[in-house]
Amino acid sequence: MLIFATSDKGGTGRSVTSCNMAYRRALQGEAVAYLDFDFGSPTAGAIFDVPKAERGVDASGLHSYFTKHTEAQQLDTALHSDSDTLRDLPRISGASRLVLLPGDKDGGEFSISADMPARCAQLFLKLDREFDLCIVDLSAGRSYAVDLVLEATARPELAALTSRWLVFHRWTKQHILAAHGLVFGEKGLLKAGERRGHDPQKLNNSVRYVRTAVVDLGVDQESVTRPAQGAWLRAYDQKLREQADKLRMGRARLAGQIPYDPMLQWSEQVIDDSDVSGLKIANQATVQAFEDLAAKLSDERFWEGL
Amino acid sequence: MTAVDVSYDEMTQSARVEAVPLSHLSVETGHLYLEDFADGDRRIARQLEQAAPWLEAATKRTRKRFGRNARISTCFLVDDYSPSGPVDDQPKPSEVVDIVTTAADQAGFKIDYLAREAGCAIACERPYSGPRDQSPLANIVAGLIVEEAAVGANGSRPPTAQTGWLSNGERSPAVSVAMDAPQWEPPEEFGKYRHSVFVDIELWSQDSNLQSAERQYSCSLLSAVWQLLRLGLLRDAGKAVAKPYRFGSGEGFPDLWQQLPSITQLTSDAAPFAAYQALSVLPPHFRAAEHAAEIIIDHLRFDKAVLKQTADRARDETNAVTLPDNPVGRVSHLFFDDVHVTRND
Amino acid sequence: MSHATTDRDPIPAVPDDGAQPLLGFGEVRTCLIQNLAGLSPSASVALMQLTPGSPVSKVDRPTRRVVSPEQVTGVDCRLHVAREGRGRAIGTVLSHAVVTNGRILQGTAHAALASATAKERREWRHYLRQPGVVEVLGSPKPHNVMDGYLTDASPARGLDLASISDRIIDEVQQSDRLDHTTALRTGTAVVRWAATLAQEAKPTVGIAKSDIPNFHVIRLNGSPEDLPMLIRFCEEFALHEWLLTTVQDVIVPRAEADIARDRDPLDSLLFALNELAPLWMPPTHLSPDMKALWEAMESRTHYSRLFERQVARIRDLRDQVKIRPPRRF
Repeated sequence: MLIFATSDKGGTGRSVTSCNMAYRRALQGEAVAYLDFDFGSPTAGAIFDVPKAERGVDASGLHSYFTKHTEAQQLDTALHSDSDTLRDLPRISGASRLVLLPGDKDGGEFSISADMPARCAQLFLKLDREFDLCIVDLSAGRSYAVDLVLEATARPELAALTSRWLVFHRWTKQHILAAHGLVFGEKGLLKAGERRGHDPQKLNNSVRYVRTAVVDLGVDQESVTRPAQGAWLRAYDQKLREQADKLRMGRARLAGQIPYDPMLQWSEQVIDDSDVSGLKIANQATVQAFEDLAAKLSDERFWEGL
Repeated sequence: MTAVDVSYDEMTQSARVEAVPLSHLSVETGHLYLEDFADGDRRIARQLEQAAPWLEAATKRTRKRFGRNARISTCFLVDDYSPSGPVDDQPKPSEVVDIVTTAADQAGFKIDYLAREAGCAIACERPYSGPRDQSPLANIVAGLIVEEAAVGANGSRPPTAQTGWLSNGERSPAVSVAMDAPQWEPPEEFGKYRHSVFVDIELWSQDSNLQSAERQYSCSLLSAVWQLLRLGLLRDAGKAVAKPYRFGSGEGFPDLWQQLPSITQLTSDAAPFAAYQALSVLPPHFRAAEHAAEIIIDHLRFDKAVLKQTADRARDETNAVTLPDNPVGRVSHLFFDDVHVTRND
Repeated sequence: MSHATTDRDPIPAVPDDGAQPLLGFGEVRTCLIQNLAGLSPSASVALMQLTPGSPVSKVDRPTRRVVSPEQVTGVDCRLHVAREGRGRAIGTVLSHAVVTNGRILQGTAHAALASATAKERREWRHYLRQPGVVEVLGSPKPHNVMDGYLTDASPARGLDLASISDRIIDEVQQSDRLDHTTALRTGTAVVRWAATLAQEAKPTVGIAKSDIPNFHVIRLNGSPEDLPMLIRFCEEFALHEWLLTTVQDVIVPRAEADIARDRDPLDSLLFALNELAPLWMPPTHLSPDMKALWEAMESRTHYSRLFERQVARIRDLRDQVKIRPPRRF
């Protein structure tokens, strides 16, 4: 299965959420490949705490795979990460591998040449032979990377692979509108996909939304102290829900809701239960949200046509 | 080292290579487009007139070198590969055969074989042939191309011949529209002598909007196929291809070009179509495509068994013939000029 | 590389057949074909028709083995030489694909290294006349060239047979003759090998363990005429090694984890028993030399016994599942 993670704007927590989602799936026993398609600024190496790929690798990253025709390097996070969480993964019973395909340092965006979509499809096919799940982290906004994967997934050799899209956005009025534009706009995903041979209806059925940095109103948050503030927030939250519903981004299409977590705002990293129970630096709700999102990826009923 | 299993396992496909009958010399006396026949027989008459003395000279020379019984055949190529007009406007094969044989008679020689260019893309051995008895010759030849290695090529990158282009050197680095366009560097011919003659050949084009679109082969590649057929060097899984077909006395020509065999034998006592040497006497505008065809042939990996079979056959002639290792060394051209006697008609 | 005399030799009069290979290099990749069902014999042949007009070879017993025509790739590069010495390699590398029983795909790239027949690069058609031969300019010692090749990292600095064998796998896997459905998620195993070739040398084999998962290194000896047999040996070794790794490291642990988590492991267990186990067919019938090589390898690795043990374990797991099916069946 291919999961494409994209967002309307930067700063949505798309990468850190996707990395944690990848970790959760590997923990559940699935071999996971994480592809850093954010060619301009590869960040997954930093989130997975892989020193040699912190801002991308020196050679044979994904950028070189496309522009220089080198092999795409695979870094098993259990071997290359400095994070105890990832290093311990193989020792957890029933867990599988989490492999990073990093971007290149100083990669930059590139224009798509004629052979790249086939090459991209080749890479996805190759990874599908080995990995249960491939998470492709696309950069924020419209980019060549989005066009590339749309063109690759329209190719007949990828017809048998399941492709799903997660659109990340913050839970504000502006971000909801921007995410809507990213999918439904004139230059949006569906229009761009249609031009490349996708059925826009089917493509839309493969898109779900992830709301990030959501203030959890059910929990007694330090930040919400005055009753008037709480009431206003609840009312505004309701308005946002109505807006999302109207834009076809409502509950039925909601893959996950990631609470605002101060720790992740400062340090984008993979967290596990010990960060919650032992060190107590992350919130249980955050880990739970990652877990729920990870579970949703393969919940067929959730992805059925709407 | 070609077939890994040969010495150990049973092979279902035998490595047997069918032999092709060979003349000493094959002379291509003309090459015309179907549209050219619209102007009547003037053009063809002029072309054959021009070719006649060279054919005579070549015949004399061949007999002198290889003996009085040296086998010589003549042929004529009609380009029906991508006709521009509608099918109805095309001259029928029987009409073209009449025009060509009459013109050859007037020029003082006989044309033994009529070949068609589309039959070089896909070989047909019989009239009205279907996919079962056809051979995709252009595909086969394209598949035999081994691109020359640039200095530094270690196998990491895929060959670019897959893109439908073949060059005889190293291309100038692509200049992109990006702001940091690299400094221009010239292309360079491999093994150049002081200066380069760099040639980049389009082998085929393909409509990129249609994924299943068929390749439209260039006349450079089809010329290479044509020359290789004339040298008797092409096989399809060991089988000889595009064997000439002779219509029986009561058998009429088909109406459509695509229903015609690749090579039609016109004279009953013709020497074999393929030959040790192939001479093409052509108008000058074919020069570029013929040069390109030579470069293509120079980049082919030939079946060793076919080369050996041909060389052995040549050596066994009454007057033994020594063939060069390099097939291109068996092809010669004569591009005649466009100078004419001024006529007052 | 040099025979003792080449330094003073002029360009030989008959250069083309003079080159005696001193080394054979190769790399084999093994993986599962990306197709839900196993391929029929005719589908396997069609898939292996990589070069139109060139025959595909096919053997039906003891396992069905279909081999593509050789593909030719030109190279002109520095060799990665261990310790000291430099060499430039010019010529062509051959590569072919093999389908076994319509299920397993192998991509092999190989070349025979010989001393150069001239002091500089020759016309391209010279190299085309000896497909699979790479001529070495310069005079590095063959064992340094061999060690350099076997230890070359990725991305390769010298002759990159890895990319060539990888590319042929990708090309086949992308074919529109396949449905591109992954029947079982497994890795691609890599075997890199090098052979020292000398007239009259007896074939021998040594297998080195590597730290990199799914990567094996083989050193061989033999005469130049043995090269096809050595290539075949490496392909057979690679196939069997892949089978063992797949059942031992993929199927058995996954089934155990599935059972522990109440998930159904039966599909992959049956796949192993029905599709993979019958492929264990050591190539000892091919020739006495092959038999000797195989037995030498077996005596060190005990692969057959390890494989039998894994298959027995799979049968146990299957029986266990049949007796007590998982709850979410």
